[in-house]
Amino acid sequence: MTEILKIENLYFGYDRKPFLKNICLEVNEGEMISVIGENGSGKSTLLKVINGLVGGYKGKIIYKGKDIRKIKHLDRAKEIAVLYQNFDYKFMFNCFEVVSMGLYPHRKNSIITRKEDIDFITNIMELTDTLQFANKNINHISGGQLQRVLLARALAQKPKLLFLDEAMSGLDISARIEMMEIILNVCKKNGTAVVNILHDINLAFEKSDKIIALKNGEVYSFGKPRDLLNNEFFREVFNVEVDIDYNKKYFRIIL
Amino acid sequence: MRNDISGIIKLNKIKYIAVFAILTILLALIAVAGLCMGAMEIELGDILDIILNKIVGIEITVKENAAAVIWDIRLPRILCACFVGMGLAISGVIFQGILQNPLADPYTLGISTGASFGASLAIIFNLISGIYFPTVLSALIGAFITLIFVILISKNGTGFESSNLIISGIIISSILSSGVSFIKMLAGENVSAIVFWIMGSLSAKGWNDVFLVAPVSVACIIFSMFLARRLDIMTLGDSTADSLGVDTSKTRLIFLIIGSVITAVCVSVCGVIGFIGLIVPHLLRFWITSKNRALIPISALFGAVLLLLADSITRILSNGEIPVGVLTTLIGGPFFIFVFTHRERS
Repeated sequence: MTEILKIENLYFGYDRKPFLKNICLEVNEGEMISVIGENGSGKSTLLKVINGLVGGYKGKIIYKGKDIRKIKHLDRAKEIAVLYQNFDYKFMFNCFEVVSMGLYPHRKNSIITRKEDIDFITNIMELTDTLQFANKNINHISGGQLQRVLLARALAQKPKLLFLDEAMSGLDISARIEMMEIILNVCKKNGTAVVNILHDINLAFEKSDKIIALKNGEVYSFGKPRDLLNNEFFREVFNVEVDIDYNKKYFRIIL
Repeated sequence: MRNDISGIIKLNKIKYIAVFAILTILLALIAVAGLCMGAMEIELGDILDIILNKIVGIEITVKENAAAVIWDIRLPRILCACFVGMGLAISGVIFQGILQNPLADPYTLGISTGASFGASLAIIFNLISGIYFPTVLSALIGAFITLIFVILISKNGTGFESSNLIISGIIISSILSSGVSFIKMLAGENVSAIVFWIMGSLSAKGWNDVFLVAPVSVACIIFSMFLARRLDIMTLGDSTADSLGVDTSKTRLIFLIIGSVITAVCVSVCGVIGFIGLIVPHLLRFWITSKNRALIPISALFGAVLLLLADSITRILSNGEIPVGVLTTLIGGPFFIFVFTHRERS
């Protein structure tokens, strides 16, 4: 497996107070990595730092062998996509137009009229099960559908690395599972690595190749779900006492 | 399903072109009607002769005063209405895009108040000192100084956020409007000149005004057409736009300057004409599309049609005594309420 993102000794702080401390991690092609931790443990900040939304960190963030700061903004958008939590969309684009915006980094100066582009977008909408409301106004679909449209928009960037920032937090359980299946399906096929920030621990443990647990801005543990899974882990990371019902087929946290 | 998509795209394209064509025809019809309308009755054939005479120099037999009425009064007024309408509508599209708010308009950031302040200063200065300082120039200076202040106040470490822009716009705008009130008080009996200027009127606009507004409006339309897709993407929110490779702060600054330049020029030439910049893009987003590549040219035309229509109505009603800015707000306001409540229900 080829490594595509490597973070070494990353330090970052707001107002000179260190917030992220000594973060080290690697992401390989096609991997699904979940980032978990309490609110305020630094998950979203880590994502912001990697994506250049906040500057001034110490350490190294290497994307495909290059310092990420040296990659041009638009070139980065050709490789890395981010899907944020559901938001209130105020403008009246139809879903097809929103998904087409994902092609912007690749087709900066032209409108989407070429047949190959239309086919590409149509394909992605088919994969994400959004084609049936392609012509619908984005304000007139349900939350789950909207999030799938925005996922399609992110996938239209043809990313090699996809970040999900609590992208499934507002969704009900069936929409969540459906979305996760789509992401796994598409990303495994294209070799896209996924870094998924989430609060749904069951989903994280069931579907990820690796899990990063953050605690107070530091990596508490980083590894395969089955290796991390024990009562002490939950006590340390989330301050809760839980029992774990765990066999080869499934696991369950009992509160 | 797949064929449907191509079909829908084609159908939308036809829709945009059809709307564009209808608006162009409408604009031409109102313009011609406007040329014929007025105290002096001049036939359509003569009007055409007069215009051709001025442009290509054909021989004519029409009376000279008729030629003056058409060429020096009616035509520049009509052109001015068209280009100001275009400018305000485009500026509305731009401000709604960069402020990520479909209810923003060209005046949200206080550029118009800056222009009013500048104009009021010039008017009172001219009255008191007897020296003539051009009101248009003073209004432009006022608008640009306001813009600079808004930019300086709203800039923070990471760039220009839309909420910061709106807040600094509101602050500057309220300071300046009390400045305007103060000048009005100083003006005493002569206050009507200031009040009339601010209300917005197209009467007595000449070729100078056309030559100021037209190139700016057209240039800004062309320029924003090139950047239209970025404006689309900005509506997804700053973080997402950034992840798509759009430099949100730079894009916002560029559009802020384009939008403010048009607004400044329009307001400097004919005062504060309300509601065109809000209603036109808002309605077209609702009826036609939000896609800026189509929205910008259609808004430009619709803005021109509406302002020209409104101005023609003021000419019919009162020989130009009612300022068109009052009419657009009087009709536009209630109409907007109707559309807004209707939209909420659907």
